[in-house]
Amino acid sequence: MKRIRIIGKISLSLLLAVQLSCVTQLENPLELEPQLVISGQFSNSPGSRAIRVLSVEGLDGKGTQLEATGSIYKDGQVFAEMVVNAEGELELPPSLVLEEGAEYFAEVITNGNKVYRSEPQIVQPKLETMTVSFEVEEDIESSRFLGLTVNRSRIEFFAHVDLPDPQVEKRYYRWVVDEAWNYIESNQDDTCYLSNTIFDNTSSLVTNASGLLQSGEARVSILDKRLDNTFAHTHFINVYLHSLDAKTFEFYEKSERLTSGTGTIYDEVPGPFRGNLSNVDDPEEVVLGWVEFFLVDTLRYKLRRDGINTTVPTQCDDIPGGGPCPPQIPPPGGGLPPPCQCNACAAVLGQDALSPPDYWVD
Amino acid sequence: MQRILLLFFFFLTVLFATPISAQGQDEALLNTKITANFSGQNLLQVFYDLEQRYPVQFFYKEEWIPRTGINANFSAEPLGAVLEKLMDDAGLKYVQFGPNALIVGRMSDIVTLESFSYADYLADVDAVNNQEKSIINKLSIVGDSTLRPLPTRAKISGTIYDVESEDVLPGAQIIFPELKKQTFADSEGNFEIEIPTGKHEVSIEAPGHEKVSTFLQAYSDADWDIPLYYTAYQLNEVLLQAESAGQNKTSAEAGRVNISIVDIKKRPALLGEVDIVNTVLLLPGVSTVGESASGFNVRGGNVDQNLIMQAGNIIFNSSHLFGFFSVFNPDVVQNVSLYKGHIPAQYGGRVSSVLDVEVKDGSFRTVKGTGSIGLFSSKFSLNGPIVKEQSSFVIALRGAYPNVLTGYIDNVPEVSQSSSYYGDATIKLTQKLGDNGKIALFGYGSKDFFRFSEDFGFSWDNYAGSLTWTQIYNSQLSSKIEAKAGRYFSNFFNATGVEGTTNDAGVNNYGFRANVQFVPNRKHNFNFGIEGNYYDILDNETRPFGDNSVVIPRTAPKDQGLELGLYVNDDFDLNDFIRFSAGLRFSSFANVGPFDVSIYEENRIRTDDTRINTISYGSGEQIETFANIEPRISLRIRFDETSSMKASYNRVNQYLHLISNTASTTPIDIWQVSNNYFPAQRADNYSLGFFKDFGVKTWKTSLEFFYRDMTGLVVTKDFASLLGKPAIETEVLNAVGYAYGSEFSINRSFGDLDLELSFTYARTFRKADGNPEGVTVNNGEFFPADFDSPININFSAKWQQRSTRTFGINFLFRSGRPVSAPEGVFPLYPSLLVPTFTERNTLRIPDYHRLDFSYTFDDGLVNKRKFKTDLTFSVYNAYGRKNPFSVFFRREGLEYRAFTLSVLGTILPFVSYNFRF
Repeated sequence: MKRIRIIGKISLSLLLAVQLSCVTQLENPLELEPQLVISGQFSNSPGSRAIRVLSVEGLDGKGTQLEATGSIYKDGQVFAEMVVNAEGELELPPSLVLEEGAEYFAEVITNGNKVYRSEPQIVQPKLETMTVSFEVEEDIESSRFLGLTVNRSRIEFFAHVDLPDPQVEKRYYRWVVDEAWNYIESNQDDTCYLSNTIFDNTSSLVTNASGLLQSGEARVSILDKRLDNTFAHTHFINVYLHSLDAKTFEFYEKSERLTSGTGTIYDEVPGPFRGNLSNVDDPEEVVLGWVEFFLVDTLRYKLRRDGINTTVPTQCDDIPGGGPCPPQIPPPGGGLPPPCQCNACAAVLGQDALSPPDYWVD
Repeated sequence: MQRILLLFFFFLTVLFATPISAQGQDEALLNTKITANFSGQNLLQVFYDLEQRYPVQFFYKEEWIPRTGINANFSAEPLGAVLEKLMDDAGLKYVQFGPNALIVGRMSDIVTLESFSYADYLADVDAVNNQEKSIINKLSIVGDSTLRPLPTRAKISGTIYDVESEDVLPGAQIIFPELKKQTFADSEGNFEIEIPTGKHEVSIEAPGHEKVSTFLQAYSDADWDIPLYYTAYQLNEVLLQAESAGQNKTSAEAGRVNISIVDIKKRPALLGEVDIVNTVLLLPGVSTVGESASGFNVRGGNVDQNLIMQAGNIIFNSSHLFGFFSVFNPDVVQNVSLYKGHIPAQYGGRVSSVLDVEVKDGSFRTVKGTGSIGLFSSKFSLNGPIVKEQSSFVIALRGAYPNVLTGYIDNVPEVSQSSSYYGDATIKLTQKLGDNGKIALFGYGSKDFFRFSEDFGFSWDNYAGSLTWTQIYNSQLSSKIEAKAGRYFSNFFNATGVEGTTNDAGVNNYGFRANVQFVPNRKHNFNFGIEGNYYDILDNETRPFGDNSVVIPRTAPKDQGLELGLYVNDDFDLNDFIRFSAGLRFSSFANVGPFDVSIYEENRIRTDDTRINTISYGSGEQIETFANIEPRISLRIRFDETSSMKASYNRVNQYLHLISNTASTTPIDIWQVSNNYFPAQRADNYSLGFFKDFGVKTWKTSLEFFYRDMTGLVVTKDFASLLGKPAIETEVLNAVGYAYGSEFSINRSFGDLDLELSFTYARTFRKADGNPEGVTVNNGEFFPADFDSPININFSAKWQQRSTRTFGINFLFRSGRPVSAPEGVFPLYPSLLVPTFTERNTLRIPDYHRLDFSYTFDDGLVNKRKFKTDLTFSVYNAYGRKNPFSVFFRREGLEYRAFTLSVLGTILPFVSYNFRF
């Protein structure tokens, strides 16, 4: 007898809206030994002219600054003795200027008369004048489950560069971005200036040296962040373009790869990576750090609220210590509502926040 | 009458139940009036006498029966009373099975035997016995009774198959206890055995099926197809245990495991989907990097060192959906064999193990279907005759759409915007060629896709097809000839600004295989043949992806190679106790063009900077060749019916490498053939195992040791970049490795409760070795492989309540795998912290352990023959442990913190509702 047997199976999953994976902080995974760290950056810009010598234990990068002296060598000759600002903090005198094409290295002598040197670096020529543009994009984030929709805007900054043929010239680009804005308290007499360093722009490293990128104009995303209420005020986006050599570029690229893990199977196996310093008498000694000599091009992008063609939200989430704003009421007769008035800026950030950055222009 | 006890599994069923009276016994038999006068006969002779004069049969093991003389007279006394008197004195008990059958056992072993209710049992098996095809306790008459003179011997051949599915049953065992003859069905379910003509008792056993005891009246050579029933009643589960352990002791192949698809389907299932690879992972010696990892590791071997075959086709990536599932659709799988120790000479090309997944033929008699519809996945399969009894088809489709669920995870936009799915299709057409041959066309295709938000994603495809001709020429000679082709293709895309890329990789495979099986006598089973595989590694294509990408489209050419293998293998019995599987395989590999081979400075590490030249080879031009002899031998010494020892040694060469710079194998890793810079991988595998049953085959134990020495490996350099890399040899270092370990397992069946426990201790190490300029990994020291997990413990229990309830538990424990960890961070400036990592694999993530359970109402909710249902509840990760898959470090504010990622860090309950009509 011929018959058809149909075996039906209906799987009724109880799994609804369950987030399957989770990330948990692991306390003290390793007993870390104290590590000697020597790191510093030298450019002709203020704020990037010092070396720090410290003993670091743990993953917070904080440590004990160690007594040390140091010198900067230029083309094999002592260029300058560094000034000891504080224990473990050595600074290049302001009057000394790095010269394009010259070779520099740093020498640090610790309290135990151990001598450490960085690998020599040739200061690369400053890259072409930087141009930056931005775009505002409004995303509609909808909740399929509840049927709600939320409009959120993002602002993305692009650097425009001309990538030459690597056979002609190899270039190594690294952009660093930070921002600052003023924050108006309820007391209108005080203006509070907030600044924020923006890390982790994965696309802020570009080189044509690998030969993988086409020559010609490239549009490089250097910042992508949600438009928050900070943009309701005068806002500066500061873009710094560093001129690097190949080794320094490789250093940043590797450090980026080391910190881009998310724990999934696609994470690369990390490798040991210690920097560019060594003990002159004992190359096997582990010393961490990177000392870098470079020139920098700076561009400050000033944004006002009315220069951004979108609605700026009125939450204070991005202001340290900030909380939800009270409902914003547009002034009679129309116009923009007053800026968000939340916690006291000075109380949160200290009196320094009352002083504007030196580049600030209202 | 002396007789081997055939119905061993019934003992297992009834042991340790609660005592009852003789209510369950068949009153008719036990009330049979016996008149006898025994004077000095022993109990064996008494049984024989009773069997001759009364309609009763005794089943027992001879060694259980004392040989002391009996002096007793009985006059029209009930059989039950007679036996009680005889057996009490001998320390024996009996239980009735069947209208005329009595099982006799030692009192110590059957102390609770009385609990067995034959009436209840009959009720359970009644449905099976009443079906027309059942041969239980029936006399089957075969051959031509009109022949004169009647032949003295008869050659009986046929096929053993499952009645419901009509799947053939490879490995089924046919035993003629009186004749002391037995044979096994081959991979097609076919058997052949020569016996004296006449009436013989015969039993047939097959994993997952009822054990049948019946009678065969053979007059002459004849075909005898044997139908077996997969039964839902409790004995079925017991049989699985007994069978697998028994085979383990009797086969000559150390480390071979056959897994019944029935057993696989009874396991608690992740997301409600039974899966073959997930079941394989429960075996001792098999491990994985973790949930979501592709592939599996066997006895310290890499993922790529497993030869994974489906219907004879090489599968290059056995994973679906990040590795949660495998590419094998259980609805079309016939049988699964894992060779983790001894690898017979028929197999070659991978040094660690062989996972051979056979696909069933469609039914030649009736059309049948299976299917499921679920929130997570659906599948459907259909098989049946094209021309009845001549040709058949199988077609199966499967798909999963987890994005339907993840779309509701609103609190994580990246997840809700992500997309993933997979689907696969299997088809097999089979045409019989007379009574002794068949030809089969097999095809398989699958597609996996995953996109994470708008940022990146990947996909991979598997395709395989083969044409197989199987022919049996006579009782001694058969052949199987296969032609096959396959393709594995992967794509990765990453929309990262100016460097946004999409990258294609993969491998095409074309092969053939001709195997001849020659069985000259009952002591030898020869297999010899030739196998060829051509590997065409697809060029690694990189193209721009995303609006801002300025990536130059480029191609990293890949080379090709032809692998040939000639082999001969003999399974032979030296005597009743010693059995060998010995073979020799000659393998060769030719790396051929078209390809441009890079030449590097002598004694310099291979980098882009040390490349000094390239040599171009034309299409088919030979670049590099390899040739190797591979001895394979395995020995089994059976000490007695309860214990044996196995030892094996084999050498295997592998001419393929899977290059990965991640801790876990991923779908986008790159295949590479052996050439000037990628040597042939070689493994020398040693194993030694002891197998012992304690008690009356109730405690089944095994203890195995293994050692594997590996050369010709490669490991990636620190910070290796692989995708789109033209000369990938610049990213790897030559390496060696070794692995060792021990595996202990113990099984116990308490009738309706089966317990399995396995414990594995194993280590596996790698060392970058012999590279110029002292370039190495971990200072040239051995370091643990990414999947080195020293301790693995698996525990499973199945409790079958009567015929309709099954409760199953799995518990797994694995040592945490090694990872690299930061030994510190250094501030470049206050806002930028750079981590520095230790040497490779110096930290272990926390241990992994998990409990799953399932509860099945089998055929109980709607108790009608034509409309059956079952309902399964299963819980994966029952206590919701956040098992870490990995440890990674990321910046939180101005400091780095360590985090663990738990892939399935929560309780996952599921319900499956099944129905049949």
